[in-house]
Amino acid sequence: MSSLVTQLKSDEMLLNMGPQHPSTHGVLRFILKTDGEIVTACEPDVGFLHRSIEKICEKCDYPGFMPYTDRVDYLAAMNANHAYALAVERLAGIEVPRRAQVIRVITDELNRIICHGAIGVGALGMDLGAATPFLHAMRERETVNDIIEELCGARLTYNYVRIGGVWFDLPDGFVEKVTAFLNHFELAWEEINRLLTDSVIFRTRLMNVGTITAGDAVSYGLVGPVLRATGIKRDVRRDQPYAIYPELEFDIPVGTGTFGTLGDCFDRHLVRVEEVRQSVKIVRQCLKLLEPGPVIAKVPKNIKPPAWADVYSAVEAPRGEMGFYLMSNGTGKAHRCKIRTGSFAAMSIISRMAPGMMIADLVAFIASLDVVAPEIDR
Amino acid sequence: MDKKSLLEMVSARFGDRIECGPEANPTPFIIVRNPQKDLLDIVKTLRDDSGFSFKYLATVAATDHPPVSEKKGEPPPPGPGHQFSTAVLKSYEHGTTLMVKAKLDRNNPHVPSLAGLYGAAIWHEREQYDLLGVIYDGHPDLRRIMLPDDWTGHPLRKDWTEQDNYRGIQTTRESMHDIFARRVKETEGYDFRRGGSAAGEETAES
Repeated sequence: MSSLVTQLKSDEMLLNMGPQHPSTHGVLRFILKTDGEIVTACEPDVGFLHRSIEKICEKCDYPGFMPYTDRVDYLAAMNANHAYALAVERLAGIEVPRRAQVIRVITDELNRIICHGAIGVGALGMDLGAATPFLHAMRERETVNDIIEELCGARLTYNYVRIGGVWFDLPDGFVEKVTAFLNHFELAWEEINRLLTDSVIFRTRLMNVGTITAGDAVSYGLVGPVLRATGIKRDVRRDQPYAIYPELEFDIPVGTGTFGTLGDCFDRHLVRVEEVRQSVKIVRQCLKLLEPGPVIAKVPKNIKPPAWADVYSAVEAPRGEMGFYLMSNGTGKAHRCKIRTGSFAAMSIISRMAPGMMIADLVAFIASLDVVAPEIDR
Repeated sequence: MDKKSLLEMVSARFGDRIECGPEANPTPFIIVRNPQKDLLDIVKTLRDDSGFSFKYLATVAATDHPPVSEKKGEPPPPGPGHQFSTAVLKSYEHGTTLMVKAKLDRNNPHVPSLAGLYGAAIWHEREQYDLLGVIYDGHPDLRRIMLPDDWTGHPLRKDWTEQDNYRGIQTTRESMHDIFARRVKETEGYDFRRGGSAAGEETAES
């Protein structure tokens, strides 16, 4: 029982937001204590989608756990695949061929484009009542889904990255199709962006709302666009690089506070908009780096890392750092797996930020954090 | 900064209050010898000292090691009959990762909470309490987070067994493999063409 229920005063109201609420993007519940329209306390109630993926990992062998990582964050499954593969490779000391690394970065960034495009930016608009940009973004997402479906046969839960490389080589005409998509998308993105960012209503709803200070962001372990919107230039791709990211040229956009306060909802939106442009730039560079070669290393059928070694390795997923803590026990199965996700950290700050907000602003705030329910609960 | 120099720096700073992990480990770690006394102090120094500046708590991951009989040829687990509470600290300035482990008695796993140092620890420690039963002393809000309040046991412990039912809902069921095997056994000797047991049919004819 939540402690909020027992401490209610007579002029206060207890409001249940969720578990089925259009703005929560999945099954999430918030217990709100409100005074009129103003939230005085908020308690997120998570766990509705808890499937104990960490326990499943202890029962599966290392390659067999790969499909489950898709379900951690179904909107950015490629990044989750990559994070897990990287952790096992570091644990077992497996080298990945160069072509596989380039393909991984291409698919990661394509995934980031559709994830930020359709959900991070598009769904933020939809939560505030602007459905059109969301549908435009979903149309672009379909193209990427088709391209990736040709690559690995799946549209959302890819299961494409393998320990030591990737599953298949690129199909014929992949490079041309991706180039054609990017040429089209760059223009479409500016159009979607004009519909949202330049809209006065959209701006007014987001500016000076839900301002997270840099100190809070670091203390609460926020990652990804939410952290960068507070003006802190931190990105796993740059600070602890993996794959071929050190060779690539890209900027890390940070919040500037030009329109509102530094670290408000609008800054988070702008950071995502700019990150998509950077991802387009990265994919274009990677397409030039593709050279013929093997796409998967020679990996033993039963991967047995040294006993009682443990690793924490992270990648930059669309929602920030996604890390896997793995401990081996000398057999083909992990002893312990802990998944660290960006949404979990972002949820933990809501109860701190919510007091004093209007209920409608809380919806905008949650949408701008871009949390995904299965990623919180795992 | 590479792993070796980080471990040297940490061991020079804290001396025999900590035990350094092997250098071959993919991610460097230290074990605090007396977590009740030293853990908070050491983590605070790691956070605030500009030489380390581990400003960011990535995650808290507890591990469970039940007591086992040693098997031949296999290296023994690091602490049979113990739990470890591992705090993963990261420094973006230096690009380093360090895991700070505290070894706890499995039957009475108490460890000081890091919630006073990192806001992120509040939820991460709640999750470890929920799933592994580690008790974080001084935590402001130590409740279950993923599972319902009236759930019994901590599922990520190695010796956890599922409760039969939760509020009248059955939680376990026969596996499909077992059901199939049982059905095969039940229909043994049954003649499907004649609609009766093969033995019974013979007696009827004779």
